[in-house]
Amino acid sequence: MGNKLNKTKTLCELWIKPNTVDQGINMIRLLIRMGYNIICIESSNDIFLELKKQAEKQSIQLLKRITVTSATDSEGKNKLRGIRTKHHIVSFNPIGLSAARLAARDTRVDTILFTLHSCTYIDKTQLKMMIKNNKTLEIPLKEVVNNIHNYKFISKLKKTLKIAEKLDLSIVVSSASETIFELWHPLHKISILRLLGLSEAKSLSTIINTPHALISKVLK
Amino acid sequence: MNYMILSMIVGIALWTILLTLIVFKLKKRIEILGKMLVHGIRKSYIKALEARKPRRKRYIVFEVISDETITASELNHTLREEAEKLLGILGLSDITLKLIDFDEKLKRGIIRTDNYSKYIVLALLGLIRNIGNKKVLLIPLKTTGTIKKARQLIRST
Repeated sequence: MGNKLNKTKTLCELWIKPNTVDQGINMIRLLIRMGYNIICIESSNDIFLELKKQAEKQSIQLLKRITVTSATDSEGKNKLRGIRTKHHIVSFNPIGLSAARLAARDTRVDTILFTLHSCTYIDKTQLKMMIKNNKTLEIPLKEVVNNIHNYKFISKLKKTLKIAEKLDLSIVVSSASETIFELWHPLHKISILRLLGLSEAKSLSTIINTPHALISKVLK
Repeated sequence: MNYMILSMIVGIALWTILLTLIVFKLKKRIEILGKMLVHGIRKSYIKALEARKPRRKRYIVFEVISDETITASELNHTLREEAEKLLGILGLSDITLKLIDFDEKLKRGIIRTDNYSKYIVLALLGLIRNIGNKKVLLIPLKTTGTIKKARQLIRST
């Protein structure tokens, strides 16, 4: 199955956060080995440009992303000002209800993160708003690994995924890794999604189709 | 005359083999049909029974990415511990999970599981990030149906 994925599909890793250039190069090498073709990086401009040079040699597409964390809508608006031109993908981590609603409405936001702090505000109304405004729900797997024994978080995640699948909302998963030991293989991602209650078809589309569609939309 | 008798015997033998094969192939269906007639079970239930795949062995070949040396016993212990944490004792008893082989030099190993618990084991491999105090990453390379192929895959580059 892994080989099939490598040969025929475009796989995207939507979030890595290397602190140094060497770390970034090691992560990109391993991601290529896992079969990824498009990688989104959250780092400083210098590191990104250096990594882009390296990635061009290996024919890999690198994109720049940013994560905005905000508690209120006014703070969120301030942080989002002028952000679209500098970054390819904008993710929003709402830690307040008004910020969550702003993220669902604002056209500058691409994905909304499901974290330990934001999970309280991602309810059915929020998911419906996200569908209406073509937003994607992003699940950082680092957060899932860190809170795997927190039954309340896992229960909330399972419920949200169930509703999202029912409403046909786009879901993506990212590793949010800082080192090579936090990266995720596509098969791991599919398996963990199935374990969390998504159907096989939806988990496959979450890994293959949805990230590709998101990146195509962003690069238009 | 002898030739005719011989050809008849061969013909009967062939027909017998063919009939035996057909009966073996349709054995399950005949059993289900019998149950349906005797107990009056619903057709949808029978269809679901037919669709159910048999439990088959699967061998997951994986690679450990780590800066330090990992031993087979350490890996085995971590696998059991994490599976118990994730699924509990009851969940662990339902799945097939066994570390068959681990090459400490190549850092590659084989886990035996079955087609039903394959995705649980794959998720488990993804969730293991530490063995003792050593940071690790377990990457699945391939899933096969035979141990011979799995052993070949370990040695291949």
